[in-house]
Amino acid sequence: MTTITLRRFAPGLAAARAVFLASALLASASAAVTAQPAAAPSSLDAILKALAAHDGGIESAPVWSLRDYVYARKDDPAGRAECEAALLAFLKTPATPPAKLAAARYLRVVAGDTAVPALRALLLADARTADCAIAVLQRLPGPAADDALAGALKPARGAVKTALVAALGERRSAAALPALVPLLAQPALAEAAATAIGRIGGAGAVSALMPELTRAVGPFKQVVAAALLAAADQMRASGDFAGALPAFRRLASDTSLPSPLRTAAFMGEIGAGEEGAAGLLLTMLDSADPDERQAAVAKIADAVPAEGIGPVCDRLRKLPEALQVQVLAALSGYPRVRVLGTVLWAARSESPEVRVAALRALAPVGDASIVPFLVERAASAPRGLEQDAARSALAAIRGRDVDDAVVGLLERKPAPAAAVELLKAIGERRVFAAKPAVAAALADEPSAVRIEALKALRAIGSPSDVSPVLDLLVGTRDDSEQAEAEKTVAALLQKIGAPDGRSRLLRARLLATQEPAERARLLALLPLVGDDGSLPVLRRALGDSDGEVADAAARAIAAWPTVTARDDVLRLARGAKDDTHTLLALAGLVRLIGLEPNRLPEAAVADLRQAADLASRPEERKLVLGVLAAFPCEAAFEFARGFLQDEAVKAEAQAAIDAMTQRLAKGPAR
Amino acid sequence: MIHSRGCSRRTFLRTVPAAVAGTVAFPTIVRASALGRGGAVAPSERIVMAGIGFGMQGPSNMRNFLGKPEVQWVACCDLDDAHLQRAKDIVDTSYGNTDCATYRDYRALYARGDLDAVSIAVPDHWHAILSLAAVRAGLDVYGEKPFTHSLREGRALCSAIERYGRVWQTGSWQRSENNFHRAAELVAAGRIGRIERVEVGLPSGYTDFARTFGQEKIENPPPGLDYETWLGPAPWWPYCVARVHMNWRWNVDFGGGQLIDWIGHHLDIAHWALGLERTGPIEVKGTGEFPTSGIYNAARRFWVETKYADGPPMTIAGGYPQIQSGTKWFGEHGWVWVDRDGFESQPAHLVNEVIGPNEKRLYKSRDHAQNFLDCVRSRALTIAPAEVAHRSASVGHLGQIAIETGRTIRWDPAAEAIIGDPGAERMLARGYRAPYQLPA
Repeated sequence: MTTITLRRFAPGLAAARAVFLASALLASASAAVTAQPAAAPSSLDAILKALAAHDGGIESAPVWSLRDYVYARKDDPAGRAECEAALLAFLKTPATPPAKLAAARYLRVVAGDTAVPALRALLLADARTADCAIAVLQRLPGPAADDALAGALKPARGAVKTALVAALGERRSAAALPALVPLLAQPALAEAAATAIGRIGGAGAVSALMPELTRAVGPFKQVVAAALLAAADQMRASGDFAGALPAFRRLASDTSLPSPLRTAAFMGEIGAGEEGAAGLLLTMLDSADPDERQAAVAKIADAVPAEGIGPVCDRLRKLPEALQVQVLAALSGYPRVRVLGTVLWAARSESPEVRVAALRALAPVGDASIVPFLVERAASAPRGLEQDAARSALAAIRGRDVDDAVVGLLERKPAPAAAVELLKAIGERRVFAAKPAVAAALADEPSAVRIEALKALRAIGSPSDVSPVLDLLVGTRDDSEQAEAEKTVAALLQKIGAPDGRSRLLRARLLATQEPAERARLLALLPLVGDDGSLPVLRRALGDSDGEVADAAARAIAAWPTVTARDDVLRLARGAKDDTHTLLALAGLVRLIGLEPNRLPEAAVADLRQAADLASRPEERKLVLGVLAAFPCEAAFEFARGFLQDEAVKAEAQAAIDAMTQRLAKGPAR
Repeated sequence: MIHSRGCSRRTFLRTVPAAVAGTVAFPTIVRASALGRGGAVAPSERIVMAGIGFGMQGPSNMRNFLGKPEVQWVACCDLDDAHLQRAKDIVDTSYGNTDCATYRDYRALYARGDLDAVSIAVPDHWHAILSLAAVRAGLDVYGEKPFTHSLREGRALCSAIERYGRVWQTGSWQRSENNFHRAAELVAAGRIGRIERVEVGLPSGYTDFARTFGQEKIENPPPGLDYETWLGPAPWWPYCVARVHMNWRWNVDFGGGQLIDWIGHHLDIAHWALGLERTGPIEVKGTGEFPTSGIYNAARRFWVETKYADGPPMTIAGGYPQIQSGTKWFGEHGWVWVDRDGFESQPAHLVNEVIGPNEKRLYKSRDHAQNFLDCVRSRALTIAPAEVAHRSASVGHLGQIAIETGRTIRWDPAAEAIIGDPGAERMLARGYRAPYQLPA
């Protein structure tokens, strides 16, 4: 697709542009959009003549020509004047609605006050043309556009009249109020007028809408109420509290209004209450009126200063549970000393919802004194929201003294469930000072404690902590513990800055031991660390006389995380005597090929062909086809088509073809 | 500080005496046993939801909520009969009944009186009207990004949400994904030092989501689609297949191209990490490349540069390979990059580091839909609240204005006004086709 550029500065690079153009060509080809060269520069008359028959469909060259023409002149007064005059004249012609819409779009760019008289006249034309004129006028700054829109109110007809009212509202044209207020009495326009007046806002709007609220009935009354609320809220936002208050009070006192409107009015009343807001809020909190009470809860954070939160806390126990949940969320923003006691009380509520809300509130307002309570809750609450909330609070409460409290409790060797929670907190809180206690926990019973200690060590440990973890790893017979120890070793060694030094410690330990089981476990760690410098060790171990060691080496090569091992993995796939090793190596090879999505697709496909040649079973061929879609190119399509006759994998082959087709046609997911 | 919002139908039911509650319209509550969840959530505790728009994002959003035991999904609304039926089928299959109500008119849906919240996933040009009407009806809203179709609509919607005390969550779900949260938190906690610049890479071109590219022949709309209402407040364009479902986003009258479609994701993440999510740039300039044929008119390729008063300069680009897809912060001591399929840093070990409670941390949500539901109950701010969504969308809108005018836009983020350029200022709002109007 040909493109045009609106630019003042040019950030593009030649290489980048080439890549982009290639992708754009692909995209446009798949999109089946007719590629047309940009229309040659032409006179405005000629462009408009061609535009006049535009039907809004694919043949849109005149639209883009017009855009080019107008944008080329938008900053030149003479050019603007030429465009404005021609486009205004065009809107009066019998051109198609899409053509006029396009003209209006670009008229909007250049139109000034000089266009207003002509646009005003067009407001009285057919509905589609009037739409175009409104679209231009609505965005035209200055009073002339306001006057034109308001002046057309009387002679305009039907939906156009409504659109004029709406446009004046969107422009917040206070000067239009005298023209809009009488429309409140016209049933067809009353709702639009009330809404526009509400949007304009200010004292004039409030004065007009207050009496209307008394007169209005049914759905119209709700529209007037919403408009009055909006107008009053604008006054409040601009600091005119005294002007806004009567409107809020009037709305709040009307029990015939829907609950959301009344609640909002009560909220407005509190918001405009200035120094008395907190007191008013407390009064509302004591009310039997649910709207009033709800408004009070909603405004706590805005209206109640820190020193005044005590009375709100006092009232918490009397509120229904649903409101307690909301008040607790508000209390979480207040100083600890003011609210901690109340939140702790709620954390022991009989209501699970309230307890969870309180535990969540404890995260920002808690201190070291509540660490034992949180540990107990986290350790004893059933799995679910309450346990999650307790754990989150324990992890999130600020303060070095909280860290000290957590470590102190762990050092006292608590019950295993509590130790697990404390170790979780240490990891989450990144308490480096806890390292001795965590290291000691590596020897504790039961294994759940050791596993949590391993996890904590990943967050706070350093490479120098690897040795005790290796001791644990080679000594344990517990699969879960072994897996966590492996992850911990890998995580700690990854903290070594230079990648090629990360496996040095493991290699040294390998040299120091001849025990096959220990050697096998150490070899299994190497791919987790991923230091390419240890590949020679694995190559040698492949030929080890001990089967366990050789097996571990083969598995480690197959699982190698970087493409450096591609040839090793290929050799293993070709030469393995064990079917399992062949399958693992093939899977590893395919995975490594997939790790390089930006590789030349044809090269990746060639490697995948080699993998397929080695695949003796359908499962292995499926693996190959699974990664093929990442490399869409003609060779890949041809390769996939070659499997369409293979009953065992033809579905996967078709899926790869479909995926590649989609990949070429579609962009990223939203 | 977490601010509380206004009440919900569910709260109302739980807080009014039974005698009073009996006078209001009660929802048709699906029996807990019918939900197949063993009655784990009492009917009065359920959050009653409905959805509008099921052409693209709506069904997956709905599925996220349907999976929550506390949600009772009662109705679907769409202007296309086929979409509506598919949505109803999903709900009915989930509940094992045929109770899901269907609506073509959102006003009738809102008038049910039993809803707590609504999920809206419609074309951008309808976002503000539907959302404002929902807020006014006392509903909490899960809304798709971009927040609104214009900057002025965005401010009006933010004000209304505040005025009515509603809970809002934007579909900027990346915030609830662990890799994005961790990346943003690393930056916020200062692990790469002072941030010197940010690159935000977005997709480019047009994506044929609906596989309707090329179907641009003007014809009558199909009988199952209420096309006039689909157009709604947008300028009147004649119907063609490629204009509507999913691919509407490539036309600036209905969407805003990739820039606007994605700004609420990757730029939102950039803002989040830098504490810029409640302000905006002070200067925006940009260039774009546009098609010369066909029915679409959004920029296919774009380059937008922004300056902030208290933040690093940012480049937002689509179609420039030198700008990596996702969000990348460059700091004094390294960089952090995150995208949907990646999270990397320099130094590399940073990606595994834990941010402790005594460092600067960011709001944590593990589940976007659950965060919305939790906040419907607590009335706290969600992880993607209205103001934040508006501010990220604003950068996209300003970028579009800069591209269209070809001028550097100077912006006052506090007053939300363009400085010294009335021609650009007029582009902050969009007109509405008769008889549509933004609710007060």
